Amino acid sequence: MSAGAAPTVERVEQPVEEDEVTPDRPWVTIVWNDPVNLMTYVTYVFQKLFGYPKAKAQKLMRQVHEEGRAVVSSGTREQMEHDVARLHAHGLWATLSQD
Amino acid sequence: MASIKRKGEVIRVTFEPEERMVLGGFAREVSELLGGVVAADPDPLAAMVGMGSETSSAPPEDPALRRLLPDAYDDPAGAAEFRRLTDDELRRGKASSLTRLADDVAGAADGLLEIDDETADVWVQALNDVRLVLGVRLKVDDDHGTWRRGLTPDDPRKPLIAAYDWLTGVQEMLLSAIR
Repeated sequence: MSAGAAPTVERVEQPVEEDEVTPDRPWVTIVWNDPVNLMTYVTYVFQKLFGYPKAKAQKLMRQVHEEGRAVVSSGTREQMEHDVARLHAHGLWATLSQD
Repeated sequence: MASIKRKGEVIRVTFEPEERMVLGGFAREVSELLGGVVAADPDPLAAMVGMGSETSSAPPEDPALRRLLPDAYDDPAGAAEFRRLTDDELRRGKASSLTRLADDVAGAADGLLEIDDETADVWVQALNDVRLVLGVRLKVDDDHGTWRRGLTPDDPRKPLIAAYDWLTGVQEMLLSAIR
C-alpha cells in the first residue's frame, strides 16, 4: 500500500449555538501509513505512549499498514494535541481532527 | 557486524569502528538539519514564553524536515498555529536524542556498550529519525520495495541504500532487546 494518500478530512460546518466547539463530538488522533516506519517500531510506540496491550497495539499497527490510517485515541482537543505532539516526537505521521 | 543483545538488566551493544562512524555521523547530520541542540538559551525569558528564534509557523521546505516535523492539522491555519506553539520543542527534543546517540556511540572505547532501557528508548527514536530522513532522500515511497527496482550496479544511491538497510537492522535488533 502506498503512503501517497494525503490526509483529507471533510469538515462539516454546523450552526454555532452556544460555543464554537460541539462538545458531543470528540476529537480523534489519526496515524497515517508511512513506508519507512517499521511495524515493530509502530507497535512499540503505541504500547509505550498509550499503554495499550501488545495485541491492541499490533491490531492498530496493522490497520494503519493495511487501510492507510487508524484512529489511535480520542478525547478532548487538548488531549489529542498532546497525543499528536508525542507521536511526532516519535516520528509517526499523525494528525488530529474532530470526529 | 553489529550485535545487540539483552543481558539481564542491560542491553549489550557491539559496533565495528566503521559502524560507529556511520551511525554517529548520520545522527549528528540529522541533529544539525533540525537546528542542533542549543546548550544554553541566551534569553531564558524568551524561551519561557515560547519566543524561541527558531519558532516558525510555516512548514519546512526540505521534504525530509517536513517528514520529521509534519502538520498536525489538515487545515493550514490550524497546522500553522500548532507548529508555532510546538516546533521549537519538537526540534530540540529530536536533536537532543540524536546527539545523545552520537555521543554514546562515540564514547564506546572498544565498540562495546552496555545500555539500559531508557537509553535504548532514546536510541530507537533517534535511529527512526535518521531512517526517516534517509527514506525521504532515497524516495522510499511504498511498502513493497518498488523504489528499489531498476537499480543498476553503479547506481550512486547504493551506499546510502546499504546504510539505510543497516540502520533498519540495528533498529530491529534494538526493538527485540528492549523491554
